[in-house]
Amino acid sequence: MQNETTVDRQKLEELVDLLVDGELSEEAAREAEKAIQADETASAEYAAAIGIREGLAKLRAELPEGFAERLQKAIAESAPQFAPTARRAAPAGVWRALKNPRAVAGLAASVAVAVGVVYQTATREKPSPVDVPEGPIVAENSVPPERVVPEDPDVMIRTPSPAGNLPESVGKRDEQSALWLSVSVAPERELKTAAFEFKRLCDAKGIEFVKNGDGEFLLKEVDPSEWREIAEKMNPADARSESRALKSWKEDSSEPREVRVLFEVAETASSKTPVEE
Amino acid sequence: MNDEELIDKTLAGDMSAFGLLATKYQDRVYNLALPIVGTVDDAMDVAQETFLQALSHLGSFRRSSRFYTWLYRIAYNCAVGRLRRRKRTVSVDAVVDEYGETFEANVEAPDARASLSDDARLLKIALDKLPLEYRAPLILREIEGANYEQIAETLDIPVGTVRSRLHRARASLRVSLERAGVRR
Repeated sequence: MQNETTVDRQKLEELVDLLVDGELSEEAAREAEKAIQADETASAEYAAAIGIREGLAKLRAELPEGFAERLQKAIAESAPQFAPTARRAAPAGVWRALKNPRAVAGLAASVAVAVGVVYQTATREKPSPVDVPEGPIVAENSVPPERVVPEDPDVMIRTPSPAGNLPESVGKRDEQSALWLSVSVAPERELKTAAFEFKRLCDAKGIEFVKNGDGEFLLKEVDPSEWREIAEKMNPADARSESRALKSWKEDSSEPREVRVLFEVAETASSKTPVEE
Repeated sequence: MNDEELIDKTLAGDMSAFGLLATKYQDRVYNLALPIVGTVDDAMDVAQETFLQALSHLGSFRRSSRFYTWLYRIAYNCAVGRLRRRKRTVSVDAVVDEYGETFEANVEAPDARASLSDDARLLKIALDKLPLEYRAPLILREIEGANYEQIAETLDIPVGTVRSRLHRARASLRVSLERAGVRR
């Protein structure tokens, strides 16, 4: 029952966003409006979203006086390197040079190099998400090193995740300064079941995560309030221990953070000093 | 002339063609930068930097996306870079300066905010306090009118992430405004 109510609530919340953002077909929008109007909370959310939109539209600012001229001047003064020189007819001397075998060989070599460069450029693939370190902004109260806009603006500026690679997580989970939760799955339950349930809780909240094997999750960005809701819904039969930092963060902070969650079967879990609840 | 033609003319050496592109998008680039960097001066610098970067890299623009999507991505990167260089601390709580006085993040010159109504000013303060990963999709959606696909392409995130971040941004603003006593 509770799950159905939670799912219905989430669906309604989704509908509100989709309706506000015009992402529904006409018919779907009509159905969504009916469903939203029939629910007091959803109606309030919808009204608030429209109000926010109207308010934000008013924040649209006029271009400051003089900026347009300043920009045109900067563009005119800029000397982009791609600008080609005007095409000219080849001078007579060039034709004489082409009769020289050495000149022809040099020219052929240059052409071969140019063709190779063009081929490499044409077959170069966009960096896959795996290749690109993640997250343009991680925590806004950290000071990442200065980055220069890369030569290819199609590549987003990204900073590495502070959590590091997942294989390091085994060590990091023992640090009390890191945000982690360790779950000892009750012997009568299966690890995969517990992990799957947890995955569903994250999916329901739209929380992104990276998974390592059957039992380790790195949640990308979680609000403390969302984390508390997830934690409340986790199976009470499974024993949990959390780092001091996680406890402090969930109670005192409002900033989204990465959280590491490790599921282990109770009989194989290494003994850890439990953190005070 | 459409964007493609203006790009072709620019690549052929006609800077006035790029000037026309800049005139077409300068307003939108400025309004994308301003809520991110928070001050008029920084927003102007970011907007100018955006167009100069776009101009110098125009030869590498692959045209697999629309020009303005590519331009927005540059603008976003430039704005984020400006934020980092400024080494601002953005927090949901008021920041205390070295003299013990509190001030809010993203404070503009007093006269810049005086022209806004109280509700608009409170909304701006609430918007400025949003973490950037939530603020950027909201700005693109509500101020630039981008759809989910365009936002996803600009910020290089999945559409699902766009939806969840928009949802969280709105929820967060709603709570902030309710606390500030702003009525719909």
